[in-house]
Amino acid sequence: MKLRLMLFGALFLGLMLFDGVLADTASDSATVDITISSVTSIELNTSGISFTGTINPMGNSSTHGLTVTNVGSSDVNNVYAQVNTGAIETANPRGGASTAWSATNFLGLKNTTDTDWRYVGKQVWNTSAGDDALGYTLTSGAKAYGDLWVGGSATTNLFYWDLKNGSAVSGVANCNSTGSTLMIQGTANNKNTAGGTSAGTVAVGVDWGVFSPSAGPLKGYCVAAHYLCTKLYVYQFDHNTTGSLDECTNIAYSHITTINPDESITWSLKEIIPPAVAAGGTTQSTLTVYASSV
Amino acid sequence: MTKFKLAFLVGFCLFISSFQSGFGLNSISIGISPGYLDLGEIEPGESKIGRFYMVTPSDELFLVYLSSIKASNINILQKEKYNNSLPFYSEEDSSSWINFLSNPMKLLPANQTAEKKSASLVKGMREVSFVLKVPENAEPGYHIGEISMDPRIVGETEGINMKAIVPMNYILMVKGNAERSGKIIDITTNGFSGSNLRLKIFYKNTGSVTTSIDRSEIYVLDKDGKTIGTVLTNRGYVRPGEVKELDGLMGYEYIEEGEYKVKGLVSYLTGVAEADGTIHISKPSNIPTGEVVTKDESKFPLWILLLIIIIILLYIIFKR
Repeated sequence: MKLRLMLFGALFLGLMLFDGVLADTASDSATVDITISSVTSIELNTSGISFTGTINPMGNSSTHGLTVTNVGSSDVNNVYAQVNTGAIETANPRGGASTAWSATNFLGLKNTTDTDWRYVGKQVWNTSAGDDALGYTLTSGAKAYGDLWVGGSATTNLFYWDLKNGSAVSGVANCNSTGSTLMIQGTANNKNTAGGTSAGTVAVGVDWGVFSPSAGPLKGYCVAAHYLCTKLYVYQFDHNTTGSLDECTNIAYSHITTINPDESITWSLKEIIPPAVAAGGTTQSTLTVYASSV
Repeated sequence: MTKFKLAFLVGFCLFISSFQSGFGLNSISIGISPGYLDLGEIEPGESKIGRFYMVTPSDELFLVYLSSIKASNINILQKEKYNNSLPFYSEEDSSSWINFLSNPMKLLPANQTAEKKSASLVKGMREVSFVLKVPENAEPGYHIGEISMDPRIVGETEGINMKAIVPMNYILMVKGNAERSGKIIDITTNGFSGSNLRLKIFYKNTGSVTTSIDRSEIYVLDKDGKTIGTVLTNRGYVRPGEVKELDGLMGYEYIEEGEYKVKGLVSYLTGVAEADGTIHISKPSNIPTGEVVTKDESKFPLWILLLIIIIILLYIIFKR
């Protein structure tokens, strides 16, 4: 009996081992080992975004979501938006046809963390060549003055500013040199710019002097004054490093934290139209979104 | 289904598709591979060739304009590999050291591959080559820079209205002794600007590489050493040996005339320079006021003034 039992056990163990061999053979697998290329890339989802409708002066377009997606295989961060308003609006468009204005002059952006609408890149033009200077109280020696339309949210109003040149460089007193001043009145519709708030000291640069206002309607923005005192460039996210624009202490990223592959963020866009712009279409211009490889 | 209904359905579908495409915006995306370029160590005066790929998922044919600019961030230096490189970082602008072998470049649609050198080539990729020539007088230390891309669709007349770009950042190490340091030489007041007091820091870069000032502040203190006013100054880049004037404006309405202790602080990414000083504040006799613009500005005629002076002179002469 014992012998039978031992034989039965041996047979059972043999079968077990045989089964194991068979099982091993059946589950044999090939190693799959691939390496994903390191590609850093983002994409914009622009479907449904349209600013082609009619917008009233002192009004806003409808709000559109702009989704930025990391479509690469590496993380990105420091995302910012830049427009080419300056390349399109090379001459003062005030009083001219609607096509003299760049569409991105009126473009506002709200990112995922802020509650305010911010102009992406707005040119604000000198009005001193016109005949609407009546009623201003200007800073003594001001070379330029004008208005700024603050819109996008419940607060929509005109604020007034003036610009004075700094010290002479090569015999010419420009608005990008040391000592240039920018004053802006914090009370809406008040033309007493001399009694307004100073935008601080100028960071001297080629073509543009840059102010970093810490109070008033331009608080948090960067404001570049053109050397000829003809215009201001209002921005916050423009990291254009070819000039001196990045010397602004208020400069920021539209989105600073890491976006992993296949993740996305959504900003809001709208057109914010000031008063006194001629009816008709504006000239098409470009919004570029940049991101950095982490 | 009647022929009429079918025609209506087809027409409606066509209408819907044209409506949607008419309202969409053009968008171009350009990415990069690899995520950054390490160009290694290099001697002043030496040249090197750099290569990377730009990549697009788009089905359009692009012309891409390349440009070399100052780096907009220091992401590269935050990588583990460069953990200890920040003290040897030169912020000298190296953008002019880059020359592209071809510019602009055609970037083929994503469904075509331009080259077949690599088995792992991603569709829509295009190699970008450039020559880096480091000048003889280049500063030592790590330099970072950025290559940006501006794509334009070939044959498109209305332009592009949205673009998404990831620029290529590169890093290189110029051999030599790189040192970042600076000191405040003086803190002064420099008169008035409108209703503000001008304060100034003279800051000297005492190191061997260009540094940027990321924050600069002046504190005005009372006799007990308590801060009664703070002002941020402008920032900027400072070359080795250069003395930079950093200006700040402070409202002076609430400050009495007299001597005040001041403290200056200049931060330059890898260190902070601090100094104490004394300034004398004296208020201007007449605070500048605004100039009211009126439609008919009447000026006092100059000839009347001259006539009065002549009459007074004649009176004095004849009275003698």
